[in-house]
Amino acid sequence: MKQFFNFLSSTRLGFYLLILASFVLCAGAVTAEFFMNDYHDLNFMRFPVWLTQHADQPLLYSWILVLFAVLFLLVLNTLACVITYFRSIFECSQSLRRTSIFLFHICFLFFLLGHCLYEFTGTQEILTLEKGHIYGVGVTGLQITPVSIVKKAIVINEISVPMGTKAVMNAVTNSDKKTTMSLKSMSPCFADGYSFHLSMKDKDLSDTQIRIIVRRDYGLYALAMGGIIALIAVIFFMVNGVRRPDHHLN
Amino acid sequence: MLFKTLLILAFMAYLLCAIFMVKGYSTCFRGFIAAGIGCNILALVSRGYVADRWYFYPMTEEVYVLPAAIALVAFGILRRSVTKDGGLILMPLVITAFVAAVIPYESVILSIKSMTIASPLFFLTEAASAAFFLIAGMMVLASRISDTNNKKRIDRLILWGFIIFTVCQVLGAVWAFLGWSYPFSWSTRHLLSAAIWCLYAALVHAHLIWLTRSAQLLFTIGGIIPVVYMVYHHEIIGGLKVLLGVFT
Repeated sequence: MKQFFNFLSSTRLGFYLLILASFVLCAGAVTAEFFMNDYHDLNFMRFPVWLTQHADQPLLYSWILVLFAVLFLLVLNTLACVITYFRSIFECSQSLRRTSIFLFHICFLFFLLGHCLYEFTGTQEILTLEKGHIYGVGVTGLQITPVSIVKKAIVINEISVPMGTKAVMNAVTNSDKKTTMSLKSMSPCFADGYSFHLSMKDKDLSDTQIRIIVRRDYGLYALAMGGIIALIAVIFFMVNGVRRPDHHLN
Repeated sequence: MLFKTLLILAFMAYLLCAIFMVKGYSTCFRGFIAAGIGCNILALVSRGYVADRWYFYPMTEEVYVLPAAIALVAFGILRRSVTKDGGLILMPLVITAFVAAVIPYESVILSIKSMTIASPLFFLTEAASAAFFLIAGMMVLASRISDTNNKKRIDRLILWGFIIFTVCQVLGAVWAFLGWSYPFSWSTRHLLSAAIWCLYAALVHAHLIWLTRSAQLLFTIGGIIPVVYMVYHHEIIGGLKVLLGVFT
């Protein structure tokens, strides 16, 4: 058992798994270049649903399945490494460098957890709304009414360039609770565990229409946590680098 | 066409600094690399002036930022030691500056998607990490050719490149979520970034395991290919389309 744990936590295994993941991702990048539209669908679908729709195209999904297998092994490897690091916390004094390395491994686990939740759970819906009309957002149970839509544009060289949209919407929840949402381009709104985004694919819409994307993404919390931990780890690492510039690789 | 003129001047200065590096004239090297960085930064600043206003994000277009980033990293490494290897290390600088100077000029298209601080910071950190990775690759090659031992320096370059690239990926995820509603997209660009992150994460661990010099050479130089494709994705695809158009 101990031997198996040592093998699982070995840096060598991690190294080769990362190299393998890199190769599989490169193969995926090349495939994505040729099947852009198929992979674009995956951005708005859970992976199992997408897989059933493309079951007859193994070229599209085979590398993703290999990637999931490699990433699963990487999670086990990183978990084993984190446990080893965690044990050493109590055995020797801590430096900022060691803490930052520990945090980097933790953030990697959060990133993978976030991506996993993002691919396998959650819901999303795209809606086109007209000012003054009432719409039921299926996934949320909310009823929303756009009450104001302002589309900003500037003219450069006699060409109108869109510079964003601002929309105010009244929302009524299942329990008759009323709320107002103010949506802006590049500035999503959060309500009831859902995020509301203004879609920028709106060239086909009139001035009184908007397109919104409603998402419930459980992976987002894990990704946000991973991002925060990564930034803390970077700060620790940089502080250590400034204090002891030759200490990074010891 | 101030922007293009400044880029051509920057390229000439970078070329001269590489020549002086090979010849061993340290003062000239420092002078010309500083002049090149100056012209490059001025070109970037001039690109930000659109429709009587200054915008930050056009100044961070990666193709034009990359030579300046490489020049800054190269200057940091070579400011004290002028060697013949330096010529090889400066090769990516000359090539990227040449590409920036010769690619057809496209006027800046303002886009609401880029008007968030995450966008320019993403491109700046991506260019900085690409600079570290490219120079590390060239240093591995140089140490192989001249049989010198630069391992510690190369490891440090890869490590700092990886740290900056991690920050870049976090910024990219924030930008993608704000602009497109999802933090990761199944596109060539995102998949390639993930591949590069994994490769350099592996190389960061390489000094902890027994890895032959040839394997390190293979992986570090191999890393240059996806990095170059990541930065010049649009140019490469555009070029291929033109070529295919010519032959069909």
